[in-house]
Amino acid sequence: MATPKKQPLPDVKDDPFPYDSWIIYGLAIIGAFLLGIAIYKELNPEYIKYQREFKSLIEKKFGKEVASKITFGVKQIWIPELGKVERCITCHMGYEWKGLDGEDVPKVFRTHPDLKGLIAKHPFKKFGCTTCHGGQGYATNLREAHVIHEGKKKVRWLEPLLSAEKAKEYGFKDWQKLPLMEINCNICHRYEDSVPGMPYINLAKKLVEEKACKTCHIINGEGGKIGPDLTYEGSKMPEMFDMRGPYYEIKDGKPVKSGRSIKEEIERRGLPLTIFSWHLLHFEEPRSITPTSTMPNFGFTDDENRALTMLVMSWKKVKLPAEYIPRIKRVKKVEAEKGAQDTIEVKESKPSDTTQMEGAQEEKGTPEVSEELVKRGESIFNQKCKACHLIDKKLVGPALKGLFSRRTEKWVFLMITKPDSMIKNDPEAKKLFEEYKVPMIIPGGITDEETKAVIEYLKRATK
Amino acid sequence: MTDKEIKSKRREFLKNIGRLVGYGTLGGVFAGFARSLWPNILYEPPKRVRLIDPKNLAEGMNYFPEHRLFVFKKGNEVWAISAICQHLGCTVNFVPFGQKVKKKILGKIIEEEWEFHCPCHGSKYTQDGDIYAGPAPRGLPHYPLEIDPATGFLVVDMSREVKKDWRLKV
Amino acid sequence: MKEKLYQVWRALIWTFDPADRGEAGKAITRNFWLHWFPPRMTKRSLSWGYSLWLGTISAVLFFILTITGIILMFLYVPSVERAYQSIKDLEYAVSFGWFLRNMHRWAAHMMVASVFLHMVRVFYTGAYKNGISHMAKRQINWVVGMILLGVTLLLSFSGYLLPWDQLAIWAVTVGTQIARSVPILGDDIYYVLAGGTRLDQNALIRFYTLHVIFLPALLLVLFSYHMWRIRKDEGLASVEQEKIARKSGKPVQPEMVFSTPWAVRRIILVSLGTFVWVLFLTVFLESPLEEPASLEWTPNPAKAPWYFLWLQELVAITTIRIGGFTLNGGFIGGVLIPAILGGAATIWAFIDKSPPEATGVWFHRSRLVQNLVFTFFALLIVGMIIFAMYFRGPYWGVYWPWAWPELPEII
Repeated sequence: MATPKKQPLPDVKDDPFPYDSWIIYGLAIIGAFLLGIAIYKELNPEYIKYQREFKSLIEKKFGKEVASKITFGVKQIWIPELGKVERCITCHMGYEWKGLDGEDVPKVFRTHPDLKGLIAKHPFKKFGCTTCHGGQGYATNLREAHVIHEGKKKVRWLEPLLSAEKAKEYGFKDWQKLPLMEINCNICHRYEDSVPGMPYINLAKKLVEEKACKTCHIINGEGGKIGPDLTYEGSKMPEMFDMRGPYYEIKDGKPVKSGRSIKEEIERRGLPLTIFSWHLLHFEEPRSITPTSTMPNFGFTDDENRALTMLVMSWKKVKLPAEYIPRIKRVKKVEAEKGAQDTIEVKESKPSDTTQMEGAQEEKGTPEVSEELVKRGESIFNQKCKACHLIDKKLVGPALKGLFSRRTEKWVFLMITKPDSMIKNDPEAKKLFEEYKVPMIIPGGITDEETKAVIEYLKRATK
Repeated sequence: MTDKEIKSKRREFLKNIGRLVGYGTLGGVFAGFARSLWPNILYEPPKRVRLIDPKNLAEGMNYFPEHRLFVFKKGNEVWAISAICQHLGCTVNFVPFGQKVKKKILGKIIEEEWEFHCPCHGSKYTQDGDIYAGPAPRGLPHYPLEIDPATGFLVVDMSREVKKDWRLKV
Repeated sequence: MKEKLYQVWRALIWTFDPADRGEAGKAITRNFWLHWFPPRMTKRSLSWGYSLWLGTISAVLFFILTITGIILMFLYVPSVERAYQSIKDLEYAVSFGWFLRNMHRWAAHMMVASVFLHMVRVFYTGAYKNGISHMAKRQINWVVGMILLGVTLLLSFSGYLLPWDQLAIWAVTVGTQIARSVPILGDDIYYVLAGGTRLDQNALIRFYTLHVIFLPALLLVLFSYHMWRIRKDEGLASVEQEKIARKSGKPVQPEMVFSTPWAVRRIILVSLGTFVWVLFLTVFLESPLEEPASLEWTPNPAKAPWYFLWLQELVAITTIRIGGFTLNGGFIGGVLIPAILGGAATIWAFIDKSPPEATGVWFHRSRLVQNLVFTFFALLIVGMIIFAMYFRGPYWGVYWPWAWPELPEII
């Protein structure tokens, strides 16, 4: 075997890979080009054209000297108490400029409305922008700041912008007034009965009082346990609402599957696929979502549905520093009623509760049946009883027509004043409970004197 | 030059261009990285703050406690002096004389209507904020004022100082 | 003057631009960076087609990650209250912040892919074998490489948690719950990893420390050893082919190439190419960020990062209910099966009985079966990743990628 001839070492100047250098230069050029694009992107963010336009607007309106004070760059309002960073003012630069209210000024640059009224009470430095309007304060481009979802490409931010366009989608007639913003107002103002500037929420709160929702639901920490606790309903996530479930229609008073899912029903009505729409459907007819629900159909109008949905969605879990809690005006009427509950001394109630329980038979006697008493009884009935009892129809509780032909006055009195012990001890009450499955709960309680008034009213109304 | 020499010179030139572009790109990237370390926004109370509507300014001395700042108004001129003693940071007291007083300070005779005295260690400043007694190493800083074009409010810029004779005409 | 400057310049760069063979040889011992290499290498080990340069690409990506990572350490805050905000600031308010974050993220994804592909290449070329060399023990490097793959995955996983958004916290929840399913030790492993019984500040700072110092240092040490072993094993496995040819009497002299400047130049080429590719991704593709982390609701569906999606898919399909008894898919699919696969791949280097001729060459006939088996599992893993990424939608149901059901919004 011949040993292979030893080949001489190559000259260090003989290039074994002659194309390498050219490839390197080509890559360097591509790299430089890409870097150029990166620098361009950095120097020309979306907001710059807004800022330039604003500056030239100011120059036209107020002169070069004033305009020269305007600087470019990211601008923000930082509110450490709320943990908020609001960069909206990067584009919306005219928000506190005097004299930019005109129609000739592009909407984005216009002075914020009501600087002297609403804003004086909610200064920008303490509230920022997203506290009221929603949206994403961190962002510096339109799509992400306004949380605009483009089809499947969503902006991953929980707080939507409560815009006029959104209100229009839900059928608000006064959508241009940004009614949805009341939801955010009520996050802080939730304990007040009525606040000027919040017509929908005020209406909803009135309805909650009238329809005695606390009978079945815990609201603001107190109420019944028949329905779910609504104290933080506004913080519920979409995952907790299964829109794939069937949508029911009420035929002959009974819920019947419509063949559509809740999602499809929402889409059929042209509503956005949201929790808001779910609530609209639910307030309209609870059994269309949950066929076994004992929540009555209150026959709300569309406006009332929207108002109630807004109220329920404003009940959010938030950490509010003390200086942000509004002064709550006390309403005397509520205090008086609460006083009646809180006092330990029994005011006018009869001392013979136990004797009544032992089934003493005698009638209560005949108090004066004044028109006033009957009227009073009617108003109490409407407030506290009508949510569950109608005269002609069975609702949450039995229909009351012909009540006194079935029951004694004493029995009715006990049933109203002591429903829990009646259900436990009285065989008739027990039967009713087994049939209706819902214990009788009177919101705010009822005094013996009020009960008498109600009974007088019922004596007339249930004939 | 021979053909080969021209070719080689050209190649050398192109190589150098290539090297320049390559290093330039890398340098550009690192410059971008370095720039990112200069903050554009700060989570601090701002140094440029809105003070007051100028028509609500009192003649003479106005004090803004949360900024520790004096704003003086004489006729149609306003100026701002810091109330923070330059020794160890106490808030100085405003000491008005009620009338024009002639004093000899540091060898010169000056006329003044007020002074600033620090209660902590006895530093004393003239009407213009010049230090003349006590441990403070320098005088009280003056800050520029301006009228905010957006709201018409008086705005102070505590990020830079101005000379003691600086005035804003309102 | 010009002459003096030129002399200084030459003194600095002569090792990268040797004037003659003598300098080329000396440069290796006189330059710190070059001492890694032998004075000459075979042309074949430097060829594109042999190694595809995947190892170098992985190393370059690690370097890019280190540089961008260090800058990011000045800007990111590892606190549950501030982390999310610091990332949002990077996106919108820091100059080139978006650039830094994008580059770091894309380099990370690329590194996981390139390390995996490097392993695949090494397997297909039988480069864990020793040919006819008596001293080489390339199996050791194969094991070190597998450990490096694990460290790379852990680096990516620990970094994934840092933005503290919904994607981060739920992806890491899925991953740590799989770790928890290990019998006996599972709960303790979870407790030490998370620093508690759930993912909160302790978990964030532990993952942060792992991510910025512990794992990178470990990777650097292992990588150095990995490179040193190549020298000890007499070069890349392809050199065995030349050795075998010479032994059998063929008049073959392997074509040798001076390391400096030719190998160095090619490394510069690969580095620049890798960097330009990452730069392209950085400039044109965005990095996602979801809502702030909240343990009160889970995004639908909740998915692990893509390199763990095959594990999540395995877990899902091995969670089988038989009567009243449910198979612990977390353990079987998440721990047992990957351990078996990884373990088998690792020890295969010691079990492989194919002849020395199969060393350092692509798809040698004698290794057909093992190559097919390996390909099967590799494709299975890749397939499961693709499937879980595009075909698994809300509730982990199966949908066509274009027909995922729309999920409701709030308002």
